[in-house]
Order: sequence, then C-alpha cells, then structure tokens
Amino acid sequence: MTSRVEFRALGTTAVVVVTEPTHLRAAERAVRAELAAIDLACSRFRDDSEISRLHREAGRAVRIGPLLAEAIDVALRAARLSGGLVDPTVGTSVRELGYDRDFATVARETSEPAPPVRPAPGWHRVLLDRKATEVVLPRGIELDLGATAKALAADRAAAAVARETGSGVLVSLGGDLSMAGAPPPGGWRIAIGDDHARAERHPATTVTLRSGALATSSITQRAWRRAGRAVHHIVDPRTGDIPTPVWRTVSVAAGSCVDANTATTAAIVLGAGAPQWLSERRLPSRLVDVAGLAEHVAGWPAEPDGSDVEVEAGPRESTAA
Amino acid sequence: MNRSTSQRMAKRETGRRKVGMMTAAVAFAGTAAAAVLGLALANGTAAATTTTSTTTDQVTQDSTNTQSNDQLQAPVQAPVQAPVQAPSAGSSGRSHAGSGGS
Repeated sequence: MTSRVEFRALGTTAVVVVTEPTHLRAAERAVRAELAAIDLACSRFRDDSEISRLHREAGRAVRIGPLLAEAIDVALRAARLSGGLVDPTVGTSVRELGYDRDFATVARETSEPAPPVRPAPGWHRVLLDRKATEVVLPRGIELDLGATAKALAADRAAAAVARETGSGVLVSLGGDLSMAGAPPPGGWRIAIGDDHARAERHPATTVTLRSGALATSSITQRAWRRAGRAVHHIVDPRTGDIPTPVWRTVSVAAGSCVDANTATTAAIVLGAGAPQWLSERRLPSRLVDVAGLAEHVAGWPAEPDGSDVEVEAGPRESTAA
Repeated sequence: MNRSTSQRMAKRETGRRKVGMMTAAVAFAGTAAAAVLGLALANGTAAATTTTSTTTDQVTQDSTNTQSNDQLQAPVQAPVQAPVQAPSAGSSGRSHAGSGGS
C-alpha cells in the first residue's frame, strides 16, 4: 500500500509517493528541504538566489555553494553529452522570448515582438572548478538551469527520502520522476500524457517502472503567444529560437531523472532525428509528433491499440515529422 | 583576482600531459588558454573561449540516481505496459504519478 502527498514547488506540482505510509511526513519534509535548497541556489527568478548573484558578478571568478556547483556541473555534462542540444547558456534567449519570471505570472499573450533571436553563447564558455566550487561566467551570458536543475532536484529528493527513511519512494516534479528504494509490488505505475496534471485522469498510456527515472517534455506546456506567434520554454541553442515543431511530447526512461530530462529536451530540439538519436543511446522513449502519432524507441512498450511505431537502432523505419 | 582558478586549471592541464590523455600540443593550448583567461579577467573582461573539459571529470555521484560521465545512462529495465487493474480493496487502479509536460 502506497501513500502520497502533493504540494506546489518550483513553479509546478511536487508529488511524493512512499511504499511505507508511516514515513510519508518524513519523506515530505526531506523533499521540501531539497526543493527549497535547489530553488535558493538555482532560481533565476529570485534576486536572492545564488545564480542571480552569479549573474551580477559575471566576468570574474565567483565562489559558489556546492549545490549550485553540482547543478552547473550537471548542466554542463548534459550539454556535452547532448552535443550542445541542451545548453544552459540559453538564459537570455528564454528571457527575451518572454519567460522572464515565474511562469504563473508570465503573460500568456503579448503584442510586443521579441528581439531578434541569436544563438546561445555556448556552454563551453562557462568555466567551473568543481573542486574549488568556483565558476567564471563571462559577461553577457545568462544561465537557465531550469530543466536539469528540476531533474536534479527529483533525483536528490528521492535519494534523500530513501536514505533517511528506508522507504521506497517516487518523487515527481511536474512529471519528471525519480525513484529510489524498493518499489511497490508490481512496480510504480506511471500515467503518460502531454500535461502531467491531467495525465493521471486522462492518460495516453500507462507504464510501470521499478527503478531509475522517467521524464517528459512537451511543447504544449509553458507555452504562450508573442506578437501572434506561439512560443514555449524549450529553446534550440543553435538558433536561440524555439525549435521547428516535430514532436509535441517526448517521454524517456533513464538511469537518472537528469539523464531522462536531458534526453527529452534534446529530442524536442533535434526534431526528426530524435528517434535514431535516442535509439543509439538505448534510452526507452515515447515520442508523440505534432499530429498525435506516437513512436516508441529502444524497448518502450507498444501501446494496446497498436497505433504507435517501433523504431530500432539503424536506419529509421518511419518518420513522423 | 582569479589566479587560483587559473593556476589550478594550468596545473590540471599539466597533469594531463603527464598521463598522456591529450597530445602535448592540445595540453599546451589548454594551459595557454587558462593563462589567457587569467589575463582577460585581470583586465575585467570576459574572455574565455577555452574548453570546459576540465570540469567534466569532476562529476560526483553524490546522492543522485545513476549518472555516467561518458554517456546518458539507460535504465536497468525498460518500462513495461501497465496491466489494467480493476479497483478493489487494497489494489487501486490509480497510477502513482503522472508524467507529462509541466
């Protein structure tokens, strides 16, 4: 029998599920503590966050705390392993597209056009000395750690609960899930959809997992209109603009939520080449194109109605773009 | 202002030359770049077109789920299609969580 609690955090919904109900309160406390720490370190919407201080002190070596150092390290690793498809230096691009505050208060429609887009400066320009927890952020570069920091928070929170209580636990942050400890009998049931808030009541499909993590990225969420143009929160670092829409929603299972989230974001950015890219990395994935056709990759289970398309490594069998 | 960082980077690059992980030329370029960074910072400018490969060998596992430094880590087991469960005492058909965009 599992027990669960949910609350608002990091601009989204946090869900904590434990296999030992007596540990639910302790689990909630542990997760809240992790999320508060991540928010204070990584939120670009808080003047008092460490990353805001880093932005103010750009151009010189800045001593930072271990958590922000880990978050930057994770973001740079994601950039490296994705070949730059996921790049934390898109901060200016995201802000200029209109995502310049907590999304709850972002104007859903504005007539003012965005400034001309330009490629992200590039993750390789951020210098991090992890051992000394010092970072040099060149002037003019703004970091957006949003995606990887939230995933890191899920991984850290799940690990903290398992460590502190011994209970099996699933932590979901806006649909980015990390599991730790022993799963419930039959595994963790995960409903998949475009919107994490609706997925449980109206799942497109439901899978079970016993460990690791699962993330979903969608261009249908955190979306708004700017000067008559639909935009969203995922930016292609190569252009500084939203990517050409190929995939509406991508879900990936991986060993950690950070890796799952890196892969979902990279897939949205990469577009038509994403199934091959995911398949080569043996990451079980479900990709839904803008017309609603699902493809599954690298062992993601076929859906009961058989409407989806399995894609294996090697030449692509189908292209949904 | 940034001497310690530059010195550490230079020292690390020197160490790399010793273990032969990079060609001498590349290692020298890295050391020189670190020195350039130090000079640029001393002038108050943000230079830095140097590589950050020096940081990626410092990823720690800490408390996170499995992360490899060399590749995105696949799960131990792929997801499986969830069986349809009829709600009953002690066994709800509810999902534990939903995954979607946020």
